[in-house]
Amino acid sequence: MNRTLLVAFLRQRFTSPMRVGLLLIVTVFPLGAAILANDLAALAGPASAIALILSAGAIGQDVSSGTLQLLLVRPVSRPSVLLHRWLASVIAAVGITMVLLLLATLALLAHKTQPSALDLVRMMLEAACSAAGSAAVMVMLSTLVGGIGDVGLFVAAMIVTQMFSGLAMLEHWEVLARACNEVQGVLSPQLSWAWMLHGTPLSWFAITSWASTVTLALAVGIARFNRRELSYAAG
Amino acid sequence: MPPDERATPSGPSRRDPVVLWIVAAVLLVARVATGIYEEKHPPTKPDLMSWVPAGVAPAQSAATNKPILYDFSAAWCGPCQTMEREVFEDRKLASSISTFVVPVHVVDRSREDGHNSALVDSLQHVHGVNAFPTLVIVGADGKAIDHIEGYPGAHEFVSWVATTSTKSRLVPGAPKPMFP
Repeated sequence: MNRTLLVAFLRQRFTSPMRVGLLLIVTVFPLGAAILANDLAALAGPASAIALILSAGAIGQDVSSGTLQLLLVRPVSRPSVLLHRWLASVIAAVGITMVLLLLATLALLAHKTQPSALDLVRMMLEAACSAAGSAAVMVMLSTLVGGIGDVGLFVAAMIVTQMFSGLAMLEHWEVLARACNEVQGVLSPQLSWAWMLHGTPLSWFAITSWASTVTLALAVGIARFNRRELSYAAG
Repeated sequence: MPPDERATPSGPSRRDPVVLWIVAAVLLVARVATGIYEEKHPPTKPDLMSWVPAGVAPAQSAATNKPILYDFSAAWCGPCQTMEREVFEDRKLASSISTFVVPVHVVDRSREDGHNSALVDSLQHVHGVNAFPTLVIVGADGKAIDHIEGYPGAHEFVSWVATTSTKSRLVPGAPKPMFP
């Protein structure tokens, strides 16, 4: 593991005022809601959003600015750059979620409410899986377009899927509805750990869906990045 | 910051991720196989939500000072089944939702029976339901606070319920419920 690549990427992300502002928006309100409601449930969602914010433009933005061309002069491989950027996004997203959970837990304890240790473990595991999935998808999209065009691709895919999903529901087209559901699952991969900690039925489909989405997104991202022309003459 | 120059790469800088491709292919095959298997043998447990009948919900909402969550779904709707499996059969998530809202399950039967009950039709009309699942959180005044079309995923759904219901309770002077 190349620590320098991880640190450099995180430094770049956390010195962007826009990203920090967005991170505050997606973290402060759920944290406030969790404290006011005296329940950690409101913190189930932010990990995925944090990972998306951090990984948006992970490759494309540096290609457009010319930074990546300079970085690749150094003895680092393209797959390594991509994997480290994905990993850095996941680590940061999980770290921020841990801080949020810690603050909320302290607030709950101050209100004399003891959150369940099992719930905390489960929320951490699910946050890690959501972050890993969302970051993998966003990094893959980032290899396809320049700048932060990956955000546009992601939003467009979500909107189109939502539209087709609505149409499928309206017309009762089950196959299309199922397809839209799968696409939404691919865009925002999640994995529930309730089967391990709360005794719900184990779904191998859910596990293989999440794992295949993450590995496929990373494989496609690396393959596309490897074939991308990065010389200044190309741009 | 420049990358670590001590680590000299041992292979080409654009090596294809062969192992990753193989793992992804195996997982994709497993995904299709388990999908087909679980379609025939769904790993289900009983619904753990404490659903409240639609007619009783407004009174319970007023008594408990919780907004109402209407879950508009249909038996044939795939995402609704996913949501049931991932949220409503999950003891923790089901109890979390029940602490924030008065949950009401509104099932569309028009496809199976040719029509719905007057109450279901009326609720669908009032909340402009034209897709399933549609999730609507209604305040004590009977007005919709927020709604979602489609299943957003277990985490987003629970987080949305928690934040929206908390927000609704922060609004002072909520009028009396629409239905006595």
